[in-house]
Amino acid sequence: MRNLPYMISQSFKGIRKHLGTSLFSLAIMVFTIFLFDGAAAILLNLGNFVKEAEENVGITVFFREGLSEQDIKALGEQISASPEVRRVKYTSAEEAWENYKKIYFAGNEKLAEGFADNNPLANSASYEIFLEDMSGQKMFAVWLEGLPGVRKVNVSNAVTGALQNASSLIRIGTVVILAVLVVVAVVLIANGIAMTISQRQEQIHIMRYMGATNGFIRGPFLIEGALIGLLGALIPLLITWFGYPPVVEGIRNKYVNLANIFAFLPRQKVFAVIIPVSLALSLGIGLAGSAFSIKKHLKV
Amino acid sequence: MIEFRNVEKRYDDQTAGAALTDFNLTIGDGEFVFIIGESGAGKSTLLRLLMGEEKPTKGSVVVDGVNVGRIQPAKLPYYRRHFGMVYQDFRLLKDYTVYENVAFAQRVVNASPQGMKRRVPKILEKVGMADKADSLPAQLSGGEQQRAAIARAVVNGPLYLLADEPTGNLDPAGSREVLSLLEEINRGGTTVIVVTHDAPIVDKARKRVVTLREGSVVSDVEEGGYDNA
Repeated sequence: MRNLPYMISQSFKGIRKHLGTSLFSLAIMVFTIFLFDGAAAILLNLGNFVKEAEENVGITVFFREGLSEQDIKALGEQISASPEVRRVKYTSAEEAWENYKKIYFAGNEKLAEGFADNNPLANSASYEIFLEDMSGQKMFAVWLEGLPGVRKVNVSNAVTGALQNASSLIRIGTVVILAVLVVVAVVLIANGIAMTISQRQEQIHIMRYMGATNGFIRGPFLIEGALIGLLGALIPLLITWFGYPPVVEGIRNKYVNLANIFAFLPRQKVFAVIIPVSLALSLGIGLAGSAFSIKKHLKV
Repeated sequence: MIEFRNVEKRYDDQTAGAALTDFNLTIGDGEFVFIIGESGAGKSTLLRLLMGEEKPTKGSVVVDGVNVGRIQPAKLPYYRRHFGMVYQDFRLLKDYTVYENVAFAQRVVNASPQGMKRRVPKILEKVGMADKADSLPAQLSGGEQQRAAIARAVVNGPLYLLADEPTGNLDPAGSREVLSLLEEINRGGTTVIVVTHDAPIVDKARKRVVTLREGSVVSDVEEGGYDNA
């Protein structure tokens, strides 16, 4: 610990001595972490959309004409007992008509009065079923259709399916691009460190003969990699921190319908994930580059 | 005490003979020894074995009862702290001042800042470099650079001082200065081993002279001269 200031000053000297390579490594790091931050922000929001959709979009089951209240209740109990089901919401025919009226006869309540005791949705009693896992929705719908007394099953998985597909696609694309960029960043940092090591061979030899420990000799090189890594994370984190709110606002304004259905995650929530992961990733890349070079070029 | 016991050293890429063969040498505590011999006689190998940079192919190098070839890599730095090393080309860090060069040796062994502030000026005073503490190596004469390098080598109080051609780049006056400094350090109790081709300083000092030829000791004379070779 006593020698930490010395090690840090040596690291900065190393960075300065091969500034071109250091800046190039830094640029790749910035690009890598920026890509990660951007993709993470999108994926976190998509994940949130899917979660919201899963919570709010369910399967609706309607029953055959003339099915008794008791039979409907029995069916409801059977459905609720399935382990895939998180919750079930029953809507009676009267409630369905009331809801319909609220939406379609708003301001013209008098018109609805014409139906009086003759509920036009008399056969519209339904169960809205919310599953634990949306991916099993299709299979569950097939099972529901096979139940005696079930007339119709409405599955509304188009939105969540599309979100899940987009999410997978972005995730795979990001992982592939990130993997390539991480390798490039590690190689570039390793090259920079190798240059510093070669410039300091004589100093290393002298230190070794003076009785310097491996940690003392390796320390500045490890810190050099870590510094490039951390600096490479700081810049994109700042950009995304200040860029996130206007981008979200822009999307909200452009896709008003989408904004009405889904809520974007607040910045603090997104960055609670992005900051630690970005720092860990960039530190890991920096240290990996240093360690790779030390192992290859530094005999202690 | 340093003991080379039946040492043979053969390098992997060595097609000709061994660098050292059937090599026996004992150097007692507090001695001043010149090691002389032609190029390729095994002088550098001797230093490398002593510093634990190389291991003997056969035999053993024992320092104060410790078999150097068997020291674990993690413990080697602590073993090396018993030695101070002086080179022909000084090997001072170019962008460090004289003070910083000497302090660097203290930093390497994790000395306390207070101890460093006390010890470095004292050593610089001892080698006559106190007034050049803030000079960079490029601003010094060869003799001054070597005195600074000696200060760096002894600042941690080593038991042994190894000097590899310490006067090789110096004029006769500078060489004499360095010799008298090494003698002074030896009088303080440090064992001094000087590998050299410099006949005048060997003849002047009249110390123990060990002559190597083709990897073996061919003569070992107390108060010897360079012509022993």
